[in-house]
Amino acid sequence: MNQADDGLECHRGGCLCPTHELRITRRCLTEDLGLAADTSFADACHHPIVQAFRTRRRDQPYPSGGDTVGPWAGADTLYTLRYTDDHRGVTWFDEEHDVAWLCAYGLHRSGDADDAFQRFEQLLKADDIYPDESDIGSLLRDRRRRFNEVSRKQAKAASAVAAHSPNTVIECTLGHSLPPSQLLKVRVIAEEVSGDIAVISIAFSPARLNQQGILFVIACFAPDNVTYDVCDDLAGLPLSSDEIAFRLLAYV
Amino acid sequence: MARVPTSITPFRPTAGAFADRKAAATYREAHFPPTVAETPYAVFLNIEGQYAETGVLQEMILPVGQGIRAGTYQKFALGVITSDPSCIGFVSYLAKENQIPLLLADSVRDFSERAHPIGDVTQSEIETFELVRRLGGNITSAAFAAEADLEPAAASNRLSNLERKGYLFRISRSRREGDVYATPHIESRTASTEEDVLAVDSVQNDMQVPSDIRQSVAALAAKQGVPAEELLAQAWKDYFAQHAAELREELGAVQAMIRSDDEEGLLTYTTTDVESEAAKSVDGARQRRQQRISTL
Repeated sequence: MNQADDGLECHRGGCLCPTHELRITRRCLTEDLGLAADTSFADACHHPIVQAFRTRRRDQPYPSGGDTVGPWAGADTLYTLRYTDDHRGVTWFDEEHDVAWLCAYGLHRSGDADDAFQRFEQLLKADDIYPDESDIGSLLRDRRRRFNEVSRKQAKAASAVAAHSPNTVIECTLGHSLPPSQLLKVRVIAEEVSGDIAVISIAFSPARLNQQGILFVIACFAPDNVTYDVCDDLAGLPLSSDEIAFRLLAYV
Repeated sequence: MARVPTSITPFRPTAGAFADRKAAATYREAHFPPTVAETPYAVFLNIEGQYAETGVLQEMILPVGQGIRAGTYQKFALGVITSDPSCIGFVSYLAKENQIPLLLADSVRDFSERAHPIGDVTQSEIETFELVRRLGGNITSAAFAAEADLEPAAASNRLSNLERKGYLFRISRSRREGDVYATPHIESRTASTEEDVLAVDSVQNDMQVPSDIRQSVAALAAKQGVPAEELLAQAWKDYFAQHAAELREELGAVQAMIRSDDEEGLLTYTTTDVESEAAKSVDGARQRRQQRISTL
């Protein structure tokens, strides 16, 4: 991840704002901006409309009372993004994923057949302007990659802290702050520590995880030993009704 | 008496929905379109932890409440979950001032057990509501009269008043059986039906837990009166205990990827459901847009 002067982190296809993410649809990136499909958001910022997108949608994912492209459409309303007299973009706030999308771009040439707004209307009419499966897939993969990257380090740090304070519950959170729905709270306790090996127990809610996700969390805390026990408590402490607990051997 | 199942779901509006009145209106229009509910249905807005302006809350709640009162939604009840005193105060004022039927719960946990009616409702009507809930959450007029030691006409009036105001559902049955009055309430834990057991088995057999299975778990949990997360945790615990050998083999493969910093391998392993999730998301959005166009 890289951080620019405005304090925003960019990670692959996204720019991470405090409450939401900025992304560009693949169609806009390749057809309108003329960039490669795998262009990172940071690299795309060289384009003036992307820079304007970053500046103007950083604090609010859509403008209050701004001009729309097409009629007002509730959660599907598209908003105009303007930069100087020429550059025009279309943005949409995806409430489901907390993402503001740059959906289209063009040059404003009033009266011309290839005016940006003519093009926007065509895309809207063909229902080609909103993010498609590949855009959402890229978003979910980038978020998963972010979770995988940071949670391994977070789990290792939490295990080390737990090993330094045996029989003390350490509460840690795995994942990146965006999106907050992907954060996973884990309670960790080291029951026995012998040299650099510890018996640790972890407890967390599997509500948002599948089998692969649960095994990944276990592996983050104990990447060296396949032994695990399913427990009814956390080293003798009660579990919340939505938690599962495992006892693991870990190198700390 | 067998429970009349009512679908009941806590909704958590995204942070963006509380940004301003327009965002709140957008959220409300997207998630509460005036469609007629043929089966009893309750939604609780979980605004716990959200510090919304009064105008935003009003925009989100009032039009839906007015629609319920006007009969636009038929069998639909709206609740709010918040423990913040100022939010409670404002929502209560909103309901009373505008005579809209709302339910208010001060906790996400057991929210339907804790929810009480607010708005245009007298103390006597609140007591009637609580009594129906204590008696199991669904009852005929005759049974209520017997339990409350009332004349049949008086019992019928109390229940039909609450139903007319929007706090109880009325389920039509034959004259001989008598209509049932039901609170928007999660069914308390009872013996599982065979159908319920099959739903649990389907969770245990396919522990990838795709979204349709999660929905089955949520529905089963609602029937049993337990949070879905609790049911899911128990199912996973049983699954990990029963399939230890094969899961340890899979765990070993994941550990190897972590030790070797195989980021691409880990990404592939942990994103098996991405394509289906993406397709579902896009389909849902497309349908929403088409529905909007078709109603214009």
